[in-house]
Amino acid sequence: MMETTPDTTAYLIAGYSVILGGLLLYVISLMVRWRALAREERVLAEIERSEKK
Amino acid sequence: MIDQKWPLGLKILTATAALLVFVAGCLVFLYAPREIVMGEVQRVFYFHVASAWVGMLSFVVAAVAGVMYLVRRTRTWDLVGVSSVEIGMVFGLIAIVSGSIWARPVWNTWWTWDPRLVTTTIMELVYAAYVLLRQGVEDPERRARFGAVYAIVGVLTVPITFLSIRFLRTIHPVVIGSGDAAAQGGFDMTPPMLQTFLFSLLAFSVMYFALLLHRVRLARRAEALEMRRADLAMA
Repeated sequence: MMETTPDTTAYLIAGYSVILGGLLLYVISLMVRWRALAREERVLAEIERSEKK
Repeated sequence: MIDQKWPLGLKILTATAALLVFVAGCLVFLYAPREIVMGEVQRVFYFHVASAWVGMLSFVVAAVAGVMYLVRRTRTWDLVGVSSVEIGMVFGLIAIVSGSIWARPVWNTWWTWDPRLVTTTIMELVYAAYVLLRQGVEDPERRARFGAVYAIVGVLTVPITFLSIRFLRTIHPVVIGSGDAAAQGGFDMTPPMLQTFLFSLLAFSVMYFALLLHRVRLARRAEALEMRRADLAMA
């Protein structure tokens, strides 16, 4: 008796959603942290300027 | 002060990594044939193994960075170590979850206490502890020393995880070399499958180095800011 190949497409989509979604989230987290540091640097620079005055 | 703009080398590496991952994706979906027993879900294998590979590579790099820090006492090596561990944890988690999704139709379960799954989870937890414990050390020098020693000891979990499916009774398939007779979900790779697999490994490896450089830049910027903050508090 011939066995048919199971339809596992939904698992394929779920698997690649996790892989690519996880990667994307990590890249976004790097960008968010970079921007947060830039913001903090600006605040520090302002404090430093006001202290010099 | 960290330059806000990406250096040319980093730009080229990032673009190359993005291109390689895109081509790898095309190979996975357009070039590699469908496996007849498992069906479409077998395609998860290419990026799942590549993620697991990057996870292990990251922890090995963190251990090497640990050794380099203890020898040279250069702050950059500590930043490489902590950055590599973070990336390794992300890819390790991706490998665990994507493997679980692959296992559902193939093993008929999301999770089983198989040696490979257990050792991978232990490896992930060991490095989660690294991140948590590191945060508890205030003095930067002590924190770096602790991180270096921990990464060197922690890397023992990598060969244990890698070899677990080769030496222990397991249902996890072995990609390279021969596995246990009880393994379920293994398959013979045709040349297009092997080419796609090796290309995915290459693409993910290049992506790892690109992410590592970005993460180290972030860590250096955070450290510079911390020092500025400390200077301001003292003034």
